[in-house]
Amino acid sequence: MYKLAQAHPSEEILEEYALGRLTGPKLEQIEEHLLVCAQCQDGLAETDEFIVIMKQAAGRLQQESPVGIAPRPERERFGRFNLLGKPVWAGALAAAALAVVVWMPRQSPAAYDAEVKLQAMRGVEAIAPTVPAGKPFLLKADVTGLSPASEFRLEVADSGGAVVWRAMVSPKDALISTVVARKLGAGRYWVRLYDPAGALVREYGLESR
Amino acid sequence: MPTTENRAPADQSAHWEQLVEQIRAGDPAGMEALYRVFARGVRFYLCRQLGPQELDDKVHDTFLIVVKAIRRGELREPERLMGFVRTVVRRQVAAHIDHAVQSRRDRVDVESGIHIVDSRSNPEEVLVVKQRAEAVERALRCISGRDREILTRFYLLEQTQEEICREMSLSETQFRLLKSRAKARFGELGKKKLLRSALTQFIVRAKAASAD
Repeated sequence: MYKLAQAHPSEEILEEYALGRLTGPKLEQIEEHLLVCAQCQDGLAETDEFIVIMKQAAGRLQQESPVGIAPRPERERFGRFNLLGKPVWAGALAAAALAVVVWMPRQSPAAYDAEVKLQAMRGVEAIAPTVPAGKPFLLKADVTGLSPASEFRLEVADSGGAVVWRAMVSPKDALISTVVARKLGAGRYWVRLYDPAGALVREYGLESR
Repeated sequence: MPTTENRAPADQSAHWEQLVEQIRAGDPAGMEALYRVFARGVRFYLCRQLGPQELDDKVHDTFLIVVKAIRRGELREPERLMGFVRTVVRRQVAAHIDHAVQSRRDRVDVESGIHIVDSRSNPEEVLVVKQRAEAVERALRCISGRDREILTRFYLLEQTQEEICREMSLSETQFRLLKSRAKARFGELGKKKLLRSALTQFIVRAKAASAD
């Protein structure tokens, strides 16, 4: 296990941290180390940037020519029929699957289980939109009224303020639409939109349950 | 003289204890030493979490909270000073978000999705980001489909190493090798030379300022 100040965290651990995957003592240790280590702060800033650009580039390519990733809902839905070990069933299922593929509408490679449109809310009665916990979802946000920009940085932060997901997004017809593949645990989140200069331009509440 | 991050754990604990003692005693040297940590480390954390707006004020507020707590004797384990600072900073981040949301709710007549900060895009920065993303996209087109799938799953779909290994029938070693090989293929486009975002530029400016 990584020990505070005995060594700098590896590139892999910094990446895990940047992706919001560290928890508990590991998270505490790396954050305490980051408070005092300029070298690792630089490393993390570079890692953050690499991830943002990689998401952007991979996202564009994925829309254009998806690599062979099975759509998630179908995989989960049929996961319980674990009969593929039996040759007869395997043949029958393969034939059935082929028939299904012929008439099924094309699935997005980055599948999602829910869709949420972030709405402008008014007053204290406002209720944050809800997404299912632990499932990827399609997030849409209207950017009408914002200064025109080709790209925005979109972040999802938990109730403690820790960023758990981020991506660069490009609006189309004043609408941002992106799949949040990060599986959010139950709780309250904040979706923040930053302009290319890094200024926070919008913030929305989001409930995961 | 070793810098803070280069100290061995025992030395570091002793260093924090000494620092806390100095602050309790009202020694300006202790305050200066603690502020150096804030000027870089806490600033970095707050900027990463909340963005660059009013950053100096946030850093200063957090510094005052920590100093007052130390002077009131609320820090029971001085050797764990950085753990305490981290807790305070995280609370500050949460409080800032709560405040932002509350302010918005209080403005009943104003739509919540309005501009929070009137900031204009820096065309040069936008262009740099775009160019580098395009360069990475070109590099992604040149690697094998399998390598691209690993990177797509890991970075875009945010699958864990375990999920990727299971779904692509890879061992952990194979995954690490394939991922590092795919990343290495970016060569000059690799992470070390990627864009200098607002955060990185901010760090560079902070370094320059501290060197003055």
